[in-house]
Amino acid sequence: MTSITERMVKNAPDMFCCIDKQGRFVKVSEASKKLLGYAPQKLEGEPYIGFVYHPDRAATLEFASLLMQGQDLSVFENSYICESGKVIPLRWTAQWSSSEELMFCYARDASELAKSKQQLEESINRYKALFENNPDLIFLEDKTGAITEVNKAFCEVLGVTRDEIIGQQASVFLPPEMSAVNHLYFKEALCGSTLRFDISCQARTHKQLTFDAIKFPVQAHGQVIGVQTIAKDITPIVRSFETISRQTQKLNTIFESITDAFVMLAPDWKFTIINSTAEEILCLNRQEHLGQYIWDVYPTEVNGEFYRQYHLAVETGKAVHFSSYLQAQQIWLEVKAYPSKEGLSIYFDDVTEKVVARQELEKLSLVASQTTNGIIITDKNCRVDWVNDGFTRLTGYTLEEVKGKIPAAFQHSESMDKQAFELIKENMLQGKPIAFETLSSKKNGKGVWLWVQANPVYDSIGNLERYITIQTNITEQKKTQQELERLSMVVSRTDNGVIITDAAGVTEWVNEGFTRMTGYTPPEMRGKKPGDLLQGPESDQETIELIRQGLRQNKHFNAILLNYTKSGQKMWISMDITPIRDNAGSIVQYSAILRDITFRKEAEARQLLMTQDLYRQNRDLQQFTYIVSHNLRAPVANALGLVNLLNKAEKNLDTFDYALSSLKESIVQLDTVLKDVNMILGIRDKRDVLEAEEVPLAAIFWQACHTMQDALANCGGKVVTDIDERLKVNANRSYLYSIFDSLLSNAIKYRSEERQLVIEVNCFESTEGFAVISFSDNGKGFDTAKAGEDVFKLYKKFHNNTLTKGRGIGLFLVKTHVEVMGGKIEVYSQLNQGTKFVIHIPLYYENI
Amino acid sequence: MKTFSIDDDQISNFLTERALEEAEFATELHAFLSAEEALGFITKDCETNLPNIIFLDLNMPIMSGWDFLDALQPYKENLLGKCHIYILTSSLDTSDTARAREYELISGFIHKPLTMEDVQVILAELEDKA
Repeated sequence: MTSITERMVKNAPDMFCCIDKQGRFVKVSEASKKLLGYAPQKLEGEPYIGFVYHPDRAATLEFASLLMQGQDLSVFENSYICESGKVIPLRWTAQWSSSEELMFCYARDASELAKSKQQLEESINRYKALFENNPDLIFLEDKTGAITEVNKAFCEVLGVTRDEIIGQQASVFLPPEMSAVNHLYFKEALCGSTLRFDISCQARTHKQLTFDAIKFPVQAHGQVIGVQTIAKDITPIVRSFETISRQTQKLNTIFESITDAFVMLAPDWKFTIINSTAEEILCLNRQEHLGQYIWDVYPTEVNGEFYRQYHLAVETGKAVHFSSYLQAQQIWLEVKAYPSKEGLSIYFDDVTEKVVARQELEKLSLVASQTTNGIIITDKNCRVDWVNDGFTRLTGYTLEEVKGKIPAAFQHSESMDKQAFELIKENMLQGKPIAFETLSSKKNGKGVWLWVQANPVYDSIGNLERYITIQTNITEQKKTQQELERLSMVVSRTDNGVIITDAAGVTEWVNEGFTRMTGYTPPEMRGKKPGDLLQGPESDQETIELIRQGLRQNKHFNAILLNYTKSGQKMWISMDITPIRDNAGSIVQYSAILRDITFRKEAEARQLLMTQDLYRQNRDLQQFTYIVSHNLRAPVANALGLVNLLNKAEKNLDTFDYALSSLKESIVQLDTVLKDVNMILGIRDKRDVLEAEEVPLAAIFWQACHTMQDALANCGGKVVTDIDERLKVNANRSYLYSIFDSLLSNAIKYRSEERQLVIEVNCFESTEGFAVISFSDNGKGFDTAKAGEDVFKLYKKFHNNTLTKGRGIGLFLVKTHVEVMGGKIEVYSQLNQGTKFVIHIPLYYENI
Repeated sequence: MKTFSIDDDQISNFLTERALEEAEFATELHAFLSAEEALGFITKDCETNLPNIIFLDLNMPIMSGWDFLDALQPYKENLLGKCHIYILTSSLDTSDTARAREYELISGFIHKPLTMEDVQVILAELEDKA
């Protein structure tokens, strides 16, 4: 057994040794060589202390002493100096055997152990330092909730000593409600959770502190053995947060307490504050609009009044104060804006009602002072309180003169209807609004027609407070009305027709006279143009056109037109048409006054006939004067001269014979003229009683031509004709014959010696119901310009040729005949070229 | 002395001639049946060969007495004082006498027939003027 034990000892890495009472190594195991570098032999017999590292020698001796005194000290550590001089830590387990007086020791290399121990120690120290010096409050609770450890900060902050608190429950330093919270989280932490919560308690300084606490379980060998709590003092944070909150709250309260609406704009024009009044007025929503760009919210106001004012404030740094209309909200705002570095503080108020009321008031006061109407404000007893200038102008009374008086008392006119006045008074006293017309007296005693409207005004509780009376001068209207009444009476009674049309000429009104005149009643006329009903086939189109032009020229004008009554009877109407203008000068109506002048027209026609007759008679008379003074007087004068001569001349002389034959000639001439005159008068007399008949034109011409056949043959003339054989004229056969006879004989008489006579006769029908006879020759002709109207005059001659012996009656007779038959004659001639007569004779119609 | 009688009526011219003879008016008488003929005569030599007296009828075809007077207007200055024109007409129309007053060239207005007494008056006037 010993050998085994020895071998075990010998091979063990640890060193066994025994030391005597004197402290010498007695026996050392082989391990010494490995451990200390000394062989056991070198150590045995030597005092151990000599090998102990100097700093440990005292403690070692102390330990050994204590051990030898019988104390049970199991483990000791010190360091030994190795043979190499190196110091190594050793861990000793020793026992004193008093019986043997030997100390049995067992040493192990503690280098590793010492190292790890040192490390552990360092770590614990670090932990301790961390624990101790942590500014946060740290405490540990065991499973029962008893506090096992607290750090320095804990003691300092809470003002307790470690001894006071160890073993106590957390409730000793926590107020009851916090204690409950702590307990709740403690329980949860025991179950393995890590928890975070706020906790507050009173500090040593009696300050209330708030902590951000973390509670987590402490585990050992997989078992929760306790709970550690780290509490961070967040009181300042909480305080400042609270302060901020409080200040914000305070600020908000301030903003909210501002009765004005308030908004604040940042320098970038974004809303930073909108108070509730502002929200209300502007219909904004804080959530939505805060942070929004104001001009995005009010795009229409860009460059508007608000925009200009705010920019002005920002640019000048001076407050602005203005009122303006906010289009978007349709309200008037009174705004004060104060610029600052933080932006623009804007206080404003909705003054829409004020503005509207002010405008209303301005308007009202303007109306009241400027109106030409009289305005009277009376108290409930109808006594004058106030009158405007209009009243003074209207009545002549000033405010001073009438204050306290009853208007009716001084405005009363004698002519006012008593009964009506009583009724008005009654109504007024009952507080009813009234309106009436009255003729009242002005201060100067003159009458003035007034339209009076009196309105009672009640106070808020419904008591009659005052009256407001408006008096309008209607004298002019009254006059106009009376005038109009008189006029309309005149207009409706007059025999003249009166039409009123609108500006477009459509009938609005006609009077009785019009109906009597035309037969058309007002309902028949209304809405129609008068001309459409009154004009007919014989109404002169030119006159109608003149009327149209007259209407366009917008002036008074007169026109005379043949119109038709409803029954179709013709009537001559003279109408005076006058445009009626409004005050602006635009034409609104036309009035037409119609007079029946049919009788006058007929008289005129008769007069015209008479005038024509008279003219003709006069002309005839003039012709007779001419005939008498020349053609009748000439042969008479000659005869006188000749007779005178014959008295003196001797009968056998040639002169006597000549005179005698001349006398005869003169008397024949006189006779011829007398016969002519007689014949002409004969034709003239028949003018109105001439029996026209159906006469074939061609046949009569050929008859006349036949008579002239010899004369034509003698002069070698020829007749070229183009006559419509069917033509029948309404004429006198012998007159027609005479016409052709005269023309043919003239053509022969005044033919040109230079050429063969050619007579051209064309007869055709004209569109106007006439037969047209064109009779031309190539004879001597005459100067139409020179002869002029004389061509057809009696005893006018245009040729000197005594051979032809024309006495100037032929063409006169032709014209007379043509005219008596209702025709006309024209002549065209050129000297030495020929003459052309154009005669129109009425055609014969079966029904004539 | 030279006298023109302008009248389309031959009897009238004849009677004028007789009246001048009867008044023993020593004159060279030219009778014209148309005014145009007489006008040609006068205007051809209005400086030297003017008649002293013209008896002018009014009522003539083509060119009346009035037309003749109008045609003489351009020669008025030559004629005045040298050539005395007397209207000799059968017309009793007062409008003719009135019209005659408008012509400076007209020395007198005589109703037909021309008598010896008329001629003597004319001669007396001429002598007065001379």
